[in-house]
This record gives sequence, C-alpha cells and structure tokens, in this order.
Amino acid sequence: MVSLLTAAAALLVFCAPGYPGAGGDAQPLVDEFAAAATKAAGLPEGSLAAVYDADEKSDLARLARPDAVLAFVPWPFYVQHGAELHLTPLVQADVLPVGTVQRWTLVARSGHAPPPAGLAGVDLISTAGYAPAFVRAAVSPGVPLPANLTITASGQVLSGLRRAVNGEPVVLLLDQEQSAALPGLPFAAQLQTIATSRPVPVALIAVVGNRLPARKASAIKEALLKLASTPDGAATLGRLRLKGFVTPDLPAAGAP
Amino acid sequence: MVQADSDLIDTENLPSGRRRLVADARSHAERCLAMAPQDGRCHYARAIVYGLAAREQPLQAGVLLKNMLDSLVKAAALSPTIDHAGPARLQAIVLLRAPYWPLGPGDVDAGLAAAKQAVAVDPTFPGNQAILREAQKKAAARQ
Repeated sequence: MVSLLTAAAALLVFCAPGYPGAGGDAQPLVDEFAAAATKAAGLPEGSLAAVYDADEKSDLARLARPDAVLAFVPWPFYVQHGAELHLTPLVQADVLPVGTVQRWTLVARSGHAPPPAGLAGVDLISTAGYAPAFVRAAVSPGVPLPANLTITASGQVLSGLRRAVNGEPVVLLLDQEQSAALPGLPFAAQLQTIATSRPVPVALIAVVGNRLPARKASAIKEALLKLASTPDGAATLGRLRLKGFVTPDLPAAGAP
Repeated sequence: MVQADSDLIDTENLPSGRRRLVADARSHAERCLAMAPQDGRCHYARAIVYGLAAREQPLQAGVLLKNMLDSLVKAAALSPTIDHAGPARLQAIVLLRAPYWPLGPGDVDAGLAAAKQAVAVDPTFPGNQAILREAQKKAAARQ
C-alpha cells in the first residue's frame, strides 16, 4: 500500500472558527509551518500541505476529505467534534501569550446571578459558541443549564460586552486573552465574573481517524515537539502565535 | 504624493521593493506633517502609510492599525470632507475588517458610527454608501 505521505500531499487543516483572518491572510503562514514540519520530520518535500480555515462548517467539510490526515483544533472544537471525527491528539499547542492551558471566564453585568440560574433566558455569546458541548461543560460542569439559554458563536465580543453593560440579557464566555484584556475597557467596572472553567488545553494537533500511518504520525510528533528548538522553527511558530508543542496532557473525560 | 506611492506599491511584486516604497511614502507623509501639522490631508496621508505598512508587516499590524485610526481621527477632525469623507470612511473600513478585540482594533459598533459619519459628510459618494451597508449587515449579524 502506498503511504498517503508518499503519494499526494496529505493535508493539515488549521480549524480556526471564531478567529480572525481570512484564509488568504493566514495561508502563507500555515504553508510555512507545513514546510517546516515536513522538513523536521524528514518527510519528502511537499508531502504535507496545510490550509487555514476560520469557518466551522467548512472545517468539517475539509476534514471529511480523505486527504485530511491532521487537524489543528482549538480545544472547544475538539470537545464538540473530536469523537465524531475520530480525532486522536498528537501534540498540545503552547500558544502565545496564554500557554498550553487556559481558563474560560463567564462575564455578565454586575449583579447578575451565577449559573445555572443566572443563565435562564439569556444569550451566551462566545467565540467558542460553535461548540455548545464545550460551553455547557465549561460554565456549569455536571449541572444542566436552563433549557431557554441560547448560545451564540460570535467574534464580536466587544459588542456583546456593551450589550451586557446596557442591561440586555447577554452573558459572555471569554477566553483567557479576552478576559486578560477586560480591565482595559472603559466599562470594565460594570462587569463581573460569574463562573470560571477549570484549566483546559488551548489547542492541539490531532490525527484524523486512521489516515496517517503510525510511523509517520510518530515522526511528525517528534518533529513538532522539537520544532521550537531551532531559530527557524521558533520563528515559523512565532508567526502563528505559537511557542511550540508539548505532549498532550488532557483533562479527564467529562471535563470541559 | 502618498497616493502615488500607494499606487506604485500595488504594482510592485518584490517584498523588498514594496518595503522601500512604504518607506518613501512614510517620508513624504512626515514631510507634509512637518510643514502643515494642522492640515488634515497630512494626517490622512500618514494614516494611509500606516495602512500600507500594516499590510507589509502583518506581525506589527495591531499597533500600525491603531496608529492608523489615531491619524484618521485627527484627519476627520481637521478636514472631514477630503477624499469624499475619506477619513471617516477609512476608519469604518479598518474598524469593520480588522481582527476584533482584543486581537485587533476591529469594533463593529464604532465601525457603524464611522460609516454613518462618512455618509453624513458625503452621501453621494458610492464608497460611503457601500461601507454603511457593510456596517449595517455586520451590526445586524451580531444581534
């Protein structure tokens, strides 16, 4: 059998729903990453390609194709789709400036009740809103949320925060970088944290199904773990706001 | 002069050539500001240079786009009608298309306000109407 990595180029899909950048903007950076990973793993030049896609539906369509052997996914995406896509974590991303894990923070207007009661009839807005399974586990682990809670995926978090301050029935689930920036907003004093998730991975690279032979997967894993140790590798990673990769250390089943 | 630099940059394929042209444009804008610091056209030119630089240096885009917006605010205050309300229109374009908070200066609410300002200054210019439609569409999507 001819290996996927010696026939046509295998594909690494950078799934980035909710994150900025049209494919055209980020594509040169992921092209550079694929080339660096290929070289570091000792694989034939051009045998691994990469594509950046910030649309969830399009990500899923790409990952359904047989040439998609690897996926770079935010943790919420993994929680939402990991089982159905048969994703097996290969390495965990060390992301600038957050690190390998982060806490998600549920923010509401000051005086708002905490979950689960405080989420009745409200709209929860988050860049991770495309992953309701993650959102529910992150804000209220083990406790069912009100049936009339709606979850909205939006990158326009700033608008959502203004709506919350203005008294609209809106709460925001922020990632660590967003919550770190919160104190800089002029209306920050009118907001409060009503729940915080346990530390969860920021992102990881996973093998899709059994599309990548174990030997090749192992070579790529070793290459990714060492990529940051060379100046060129570190520079390539830095352009993607990555510091490097570590061996996956994932939360136990049932955690968000 | 800066507009001419910008047009040249669009036709230059080599990154090194584009960087040189951005440097030329920056020099022209700074000379303009040195001679006429209260002329909104110079601040407008400086803003365009920041935008060109952001395109060439994506890693510094966050800071450059913020500087671009600061220059556009000054230009809009000093000379709101230049380039068919260009300072307000460009503010709207940046605010609507840049990465959203906290990764960038993108802000749909502020973008919609700037687009309305551009249309108020020059309602007949098609570019102003187009950016207002884009802003209204994005604002509706956030609800």
